[in-house]
Amino acid sequence: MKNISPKIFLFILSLYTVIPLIAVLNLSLQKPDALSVSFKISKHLYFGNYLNAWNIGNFHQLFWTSISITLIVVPVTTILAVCAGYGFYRFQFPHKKKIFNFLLLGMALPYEAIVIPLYYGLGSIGVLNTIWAVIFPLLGGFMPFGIYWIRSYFSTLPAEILEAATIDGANNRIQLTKILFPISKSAIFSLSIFYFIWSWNQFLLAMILIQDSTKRTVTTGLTAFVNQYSMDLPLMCAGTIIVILPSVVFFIIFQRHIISGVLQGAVK
Amino acid sequence: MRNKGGRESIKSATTFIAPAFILYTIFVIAPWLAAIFFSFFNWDGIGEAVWNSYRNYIQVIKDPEQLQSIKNSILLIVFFSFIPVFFGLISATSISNLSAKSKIAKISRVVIFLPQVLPLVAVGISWKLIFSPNGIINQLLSLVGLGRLEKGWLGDFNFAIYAIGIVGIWLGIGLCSLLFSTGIQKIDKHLYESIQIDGGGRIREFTSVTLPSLRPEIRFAITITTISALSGFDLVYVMTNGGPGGKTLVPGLEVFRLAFTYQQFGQACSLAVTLSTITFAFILSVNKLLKDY
Amino acid sequence: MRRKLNKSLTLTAAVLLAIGMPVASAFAMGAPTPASVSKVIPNKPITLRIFTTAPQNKVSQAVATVFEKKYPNVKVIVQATDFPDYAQGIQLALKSSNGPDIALAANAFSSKNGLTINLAKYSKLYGWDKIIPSTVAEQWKVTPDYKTMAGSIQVALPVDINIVGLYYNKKLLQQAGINTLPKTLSELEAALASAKKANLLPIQMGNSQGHASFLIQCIGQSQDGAESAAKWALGVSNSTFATTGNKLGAQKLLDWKNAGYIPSDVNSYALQDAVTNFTQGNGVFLNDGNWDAGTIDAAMGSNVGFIPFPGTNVVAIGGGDAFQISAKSKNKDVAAAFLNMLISAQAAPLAWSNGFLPVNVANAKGTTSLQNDILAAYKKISNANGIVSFNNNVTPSMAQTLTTTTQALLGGQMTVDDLINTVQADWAKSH
Repeated sequence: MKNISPKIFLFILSLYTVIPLIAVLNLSLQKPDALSVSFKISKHLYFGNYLNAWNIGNFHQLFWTSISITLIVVPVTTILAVCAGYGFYRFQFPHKKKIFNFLLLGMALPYEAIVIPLYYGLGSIGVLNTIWAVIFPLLGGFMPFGIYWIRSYFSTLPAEILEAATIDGANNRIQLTKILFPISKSAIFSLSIFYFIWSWNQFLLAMILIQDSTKRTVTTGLTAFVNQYSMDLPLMCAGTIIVILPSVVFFIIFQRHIISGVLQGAVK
Repeated sequence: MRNKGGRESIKSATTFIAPAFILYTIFVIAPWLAAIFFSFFNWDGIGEAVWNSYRNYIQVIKDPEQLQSIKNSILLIVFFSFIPVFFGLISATSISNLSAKSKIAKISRVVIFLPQVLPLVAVGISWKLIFSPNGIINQLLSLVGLGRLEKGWLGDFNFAIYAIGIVGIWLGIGLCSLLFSTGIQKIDKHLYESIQIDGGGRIREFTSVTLPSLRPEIRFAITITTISALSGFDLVYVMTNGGPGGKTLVPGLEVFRLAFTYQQFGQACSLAVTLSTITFAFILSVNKLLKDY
Repeated sequence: MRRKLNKSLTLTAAVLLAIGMPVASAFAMGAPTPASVSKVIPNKPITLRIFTTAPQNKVSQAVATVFEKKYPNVKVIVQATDFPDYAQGIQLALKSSNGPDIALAANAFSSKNGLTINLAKYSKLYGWDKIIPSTVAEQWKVTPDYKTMAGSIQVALPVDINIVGLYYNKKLLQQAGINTLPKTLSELEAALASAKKANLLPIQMGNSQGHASFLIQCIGQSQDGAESAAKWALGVSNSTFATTGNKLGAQKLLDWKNAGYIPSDVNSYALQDAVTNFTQGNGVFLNDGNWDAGTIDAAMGSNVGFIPFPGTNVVAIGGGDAFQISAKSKNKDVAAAFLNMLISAQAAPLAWSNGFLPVNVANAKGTTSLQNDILAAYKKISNANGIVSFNNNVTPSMAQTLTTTTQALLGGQMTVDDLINTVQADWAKSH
């Protein structure tokens, strides 16, 4: 394996990763009657598909719905996870381990297993078909990972920090906000980025719990758009690229946080 | 040292933990318990629920559709998890030798991680295009003269599930390669030297030093990729909707179909509970087997 | 201690909430009949909510505008919904407290849960039976046990008609040397063979969503005749799917796949894609319904025609969108008036222009040659009383069963007999 130049190897891997996306991008830039995804790059790049897709697919409404959900979910879950992570880190109380494990259970529980009862439960409190139908389950479902993440991070901090604060008699809230928070900014930020990606990419909950076609998210909206316009391949591809683009841009901006976050998380 | 469970401690802990705990209990645990509850009934979701004891669970195994979905989920674990992990391990040694400062390394790191952040439905739609009768794969085949192998890949009874598997590999390979190559960089070089002094070759270096040191990373990678393998709703729904003939059904999709198309809500819950049990069991065993000693 | 108690209380409350109390729900009731019906629209501000799906919502929206002009105190909100499964989703919507007044009906038997009303009285009041052809109307009337159609309880009002027939590409037909349009199954097969010889794709088709079942039904019912085929499709007990016609249909589907008359990767794409391919000149024939006429017309113009599916009997798969009125609606009379407008002569052009064949066919006039073909085909079929409802609608899971079995048949994984038996087994579960 050492014979294959690492550079070539990485290059091939990157190519393999990118090819499907480039193919879609290429098709999106062709005239509406293009029949197939291909490698040919036409001489004239046609950007009209994007404008069409945006208007026909009502993408501004899709983005607005997804943004609304994300804007509520990310701050709330981050704050709650930090508080709870702090709680587990700082305090001792009866059955602490059991309660912590109880919380961790949720990490391995797929949404598919609970979406049907959620459908009926949320329906009975009348939030089906609203963005809250997606927001509430995410608020609950994001807790296990976040609490685990934060607690793990705090536990890598030197114990002196906490001891010093306790001796000082600083109350808990101050310990958290004035002492732990500034040191943990990076880890907390990574967490909120994960939360952002997961709520933006959420599909199952949005599809089953919101049936109003004017309240679709980016993911369910794209699926409906593609189903409806499957005969116009370039249009379909333009829509797909529109949806992928924010994720890609977001990723490029925050890639250091995201990647290092995952890599560090692996060793805890 | 910290307060050991005093009154004040409990009160404070509650303040900080309760909100998260309550949200989690109401929106995750409660629905799961409800699923367990309803798995013992026959219910169409609208009318009355009728007690059916454990019979729904027997149906999970007897019904060919449900059984197929479980078989598929296990097959997909191989594609979403084992293959990317295996490939990541093999390639990690090679990649880790590359200076992290080189431009190619920097750009490649970002690129190969990309699949993990994209919405799965967009990934599914893109790959569906590639596998389509007019898609790149068929074009490539005819380009190299293998035109007679062209077919509608997602409509092929034998191949369709492997198509989904290929997307799984695509999703996990970057993450695993990156994970392991970073892990390798942390390994103490002296450990390799002592093997070399002993006269051991590259393979022994790998099995005696690299592999054991990467245990936490391997554990993490398998856990994460398995969870995504076992849900799989987004991808399959968009690419094949379980077809052809039910050959690509996965439990997540089948739960949905049982509840909404067949109106067998109780049965759907049994399958859902079975799915979550399989997931738990798998993750627990992986974590036990690969525990740090 | 207090903390623990609170947590378990919360837990219990949450569990109850998640279960949503439906376990204690009422027994099956049957569609209630309104005590009194009237044509009078009250003079206060009224909001009418309609749940339908795309693209039917375009027609409803167009009619809503006209209705609002006629009754300025009424606001009509048309909502195109997106249920994961329409049948289930609309039931739950009707059951909830903020459901629609009018809902697109999923199937005829869903009313047994008592969520929508019996429209018989309104029908009498407005004289709907005089406008709607009986073979279409009876698909939405059920017997009191809610197991068979063509009964006395009118669960929904049909507002447009879909028929499935055969589109043909005129130029390609000539190219294949086919000079007369096929009228029997053997003439069709000969035409397909000629097309194949001329190196053309004889029939365009896409089965990733089960539409190959149209072929089976078309051949099946043209052999068996509309009356007997309709009995099974309407769920009349003691009918069977294992008829000579259906067996022939399934066998022909398989034979034509093996002979290369239908695309070899037919399981890999959907009807939509087949329509696109057909409009681009790939395929001499297309077995599809008039709901795609708009797209096909726009692309092919005078180069395309439409005929009833060739066979011994003049028949067609026919169905259509139908609307129900919610039992919880506070404005049932207004809702009925809206439905009446939907099927009026005035609304017919609005349906037509959106690609729907209005149920008020007597007043429909085509503006393109394809539209005229469809109209002519429809008139021929309805004169022969040849409309049979879609096999796919006979049980809630039949659409999925037909998809799975046809995919298996075409993939060489299932025999004709197995397909027939599997379909019959699904049917027997509810009839």
